[in-house]
Amino acid sequence: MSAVLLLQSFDWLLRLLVKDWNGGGDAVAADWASAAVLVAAACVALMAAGKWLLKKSAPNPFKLTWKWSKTLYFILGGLAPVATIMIIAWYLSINFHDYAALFSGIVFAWVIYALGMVLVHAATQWRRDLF
Amino acid sequence: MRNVFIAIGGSGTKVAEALVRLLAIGFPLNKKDGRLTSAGGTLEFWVVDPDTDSAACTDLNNCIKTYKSLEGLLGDKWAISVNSDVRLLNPLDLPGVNNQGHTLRSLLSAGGTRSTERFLDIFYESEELDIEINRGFYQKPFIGAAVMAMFAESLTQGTATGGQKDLFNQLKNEQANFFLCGSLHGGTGASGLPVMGKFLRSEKGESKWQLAACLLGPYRLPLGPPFGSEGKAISDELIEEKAKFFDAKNERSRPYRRAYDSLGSVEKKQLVKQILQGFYANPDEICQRAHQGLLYYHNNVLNRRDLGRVFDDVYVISRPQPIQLTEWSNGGKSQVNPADSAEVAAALTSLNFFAGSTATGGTDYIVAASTEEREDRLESMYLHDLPYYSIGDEIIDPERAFLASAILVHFLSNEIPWDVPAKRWSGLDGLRRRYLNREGEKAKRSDAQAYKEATNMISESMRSIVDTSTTMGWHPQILSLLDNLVSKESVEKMEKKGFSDDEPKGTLSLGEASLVVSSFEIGRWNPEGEGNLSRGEYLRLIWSNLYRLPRGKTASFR
Repeated sequence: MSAVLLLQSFDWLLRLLVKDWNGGGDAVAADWASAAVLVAAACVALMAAGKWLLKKSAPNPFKLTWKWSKTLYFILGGLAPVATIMIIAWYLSINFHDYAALFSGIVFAWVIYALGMVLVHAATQWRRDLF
Repeated sequence: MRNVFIAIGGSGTKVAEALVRLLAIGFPLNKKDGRLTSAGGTLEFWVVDPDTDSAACTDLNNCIKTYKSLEGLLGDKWAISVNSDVRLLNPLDLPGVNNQGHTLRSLLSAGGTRSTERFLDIFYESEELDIEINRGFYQKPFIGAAVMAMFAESLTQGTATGGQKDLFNQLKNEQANFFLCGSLHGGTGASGLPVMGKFLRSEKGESKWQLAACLLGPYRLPLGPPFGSEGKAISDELIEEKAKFFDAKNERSRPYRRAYDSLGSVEKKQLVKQILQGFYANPDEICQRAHQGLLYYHNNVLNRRDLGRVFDDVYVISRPQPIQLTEWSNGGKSQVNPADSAEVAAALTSLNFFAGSTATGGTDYIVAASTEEREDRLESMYLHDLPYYSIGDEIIDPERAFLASAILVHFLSNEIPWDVPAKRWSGLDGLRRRYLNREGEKAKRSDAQAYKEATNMISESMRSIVDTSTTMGWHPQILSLLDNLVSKESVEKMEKKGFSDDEPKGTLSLGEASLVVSSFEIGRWNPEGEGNLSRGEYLRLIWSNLYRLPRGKTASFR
């Protein structure tokens, strides 16, 4: 339910994602946007888990301390899997045939992923790594 | 509390230097807020020595300068405040008519009237009366005793200079600890220590003074004289002939040459004459002199009918087999004797006294040098051979104190990412808290620089105590172990074991002392509500916690 509400609030983005939105492609656009959100969320979870593992296994304060740049590179590093998974999803789905939609979807997923990572950092002890 | 270390002669001054180094390293003297520290109170050094140019005194002054720099970096909460001015008490600097020169004859000649000369001839040979004594008493306490007695009398009779009179009047109103240190077998120490002890005891009156003495037995042997007179009369020709010994081509003169070459032409001639007259430290007589010194203390100093017990505590430090010095000197600037483990043992007895602890068992003598088990310990001590001392009911193990200081230095140098903004630090929440305010980063940068310099000084103090290239009496392995502890080699031992195991990977050990601690554990230390600890206080907290950590498995390095 909340996902739907979230998608509705991104109505303008959906229109951007799929060109034939007005031509009846709203269901496709919604699916594609949902996929992007799911991929981004999954990657946030994956990257957060990775960071938790790295932090948990840090043997000393030197390795436990992350500079801002290191955190940024780590977050940027998550963009690659987001894009990769989006490409795979786009390729495997017959509904997603529009290249423009692919790129728009990737950008949308990146934005969601970046927001997710920022939120995760802001809500946990990791805020010292980023803010 | 005012603590006064009175170094009498060169050996006492070397012990004073060792004490300053131990305090710089972090050796504690009391407990404050439950932490072991030496901060609080003051310590000052008085040096009683006619040899005002002595290398030992210069070294002590340099060492105190470094200590003051450390104090400047860490504030007054790391260690006791040491008075930067060493008070030089020159026993030849007599007031009034007796201040006539630097020979016994001139000092005892009652203001140049020569009326006392007939009496002097009864007690002294003419060479003894005419020898220059501004470079010490050449291990002849019977010369020094007369001078010291006059000097002490000048202090009691009110004929002393204004500064000295004020000093003693002021001290009478204070609670003061006096620790006197000098050799049993030398000239200045052997003659000056009992005289100064008796003087202070007689001056004490109702004052809250505590007096202790540390007597240094023969812990090293000087080289014998380069030549003798072989029964010949001492003439200019003989002096000239003997001076040829110091020729650079003469291989035998090598250990003697530095002392000789450091002198001017007149002094060189004087030196040769002194040797021919027998005014030098004779290694063959040293043990016998120490034995006589002990008897004298026992019969005439420790329990006197007039003064009672002169010293509240007496410590004797010696070595069953003195170490042979490899360079010869007859006092002055050229007498650069290396520091010695026995001096560190002696300095520890002063810490015991200044910490308010009395000699165990209430006996007259505590022999602190350890020589058990192995033969080579006679010449090369380990840190665990040093005597323990007490602060209240807590025993201080010197080896463990070294270990705590080494880990402290390592932690500050290698475990803190000083180049990263403190707000990003993880695993160092104890220290991080200090830098979270608006000026935090600026304070951190300033602290980082101060800690870098301070840890260098602490590390250098540790090395200078045990470095066998510049000191005597230590096992060479101690330095390599210390260097290893301080270096990045310890990083791995302080790392946590694994993903879910917070225990440290290794044991940090220095000889028989060891402890197990991870860098994360140290990083947490800085109690809530004490975010504004000064640099010195923070270091003290870490040091005290490290010292008190449970012991790890004893590592065997032998």
